[in-house]
Amino acid sequence: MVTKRKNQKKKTFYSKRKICRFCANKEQTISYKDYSTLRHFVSERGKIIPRRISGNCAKHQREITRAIKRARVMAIMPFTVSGA
Amino acid sequence: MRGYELCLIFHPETPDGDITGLLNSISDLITRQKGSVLKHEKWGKKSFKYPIKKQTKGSYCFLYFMAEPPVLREIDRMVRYNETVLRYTTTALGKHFKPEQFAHADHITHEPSDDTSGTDTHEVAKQPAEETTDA
Ligand SMILES: [Zn+2]
Repeated sequence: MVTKRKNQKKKTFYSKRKICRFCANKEQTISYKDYSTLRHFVSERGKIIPRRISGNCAKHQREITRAIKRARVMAIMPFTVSGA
Repeated sequence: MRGYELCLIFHPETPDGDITGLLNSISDLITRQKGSVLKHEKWGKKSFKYPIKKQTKGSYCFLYFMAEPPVLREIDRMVRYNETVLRYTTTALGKHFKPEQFAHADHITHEPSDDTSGTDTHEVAKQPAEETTDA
């Protein structure tokens, strides 16, 4: 890992500033019942996608995380997806 | 008085009469304790993302209501030992919630039931939900 880091150091990264889609669209609500929205924020394995990738703001990422965890309890979202 | 949302998952073979029976008795309990039921929502049978009590699907029902916090304990007592209920949760609707949100809504809404597969189905009825597909 350490050696890899060294090599990457010289690369220049640029990142497009992503906008939080829930800030952009105030109409859109976050609910644990809403599978079709929540599924955009998990990986194929069912893991929650981090904020730096999804582009959500801190507040909405927190809401999304809470909603996904609630949805998992009610079997609306999977805890894990094996063999994906 | 606070807003709550109760989600119940019934065993797939529960007769409709038993489901409405339980929902009615919960509603009765709430109104008796000076609360009010705002909305019912039934999704019908939906397949689980993982098995619950060896079942692969169940009937989802939602109940939105206003009540004093101690009422939750009585609901819990009512539902806990009911064998037709596979799982249930109550969530507080938060301090920004206003019962007027449901004022215009129909008392009973029927969500389209997806008996076939569990992927990518229902939209929550409240919002027409603009969907952007890039993840
Ligand atoms: Zn945001």
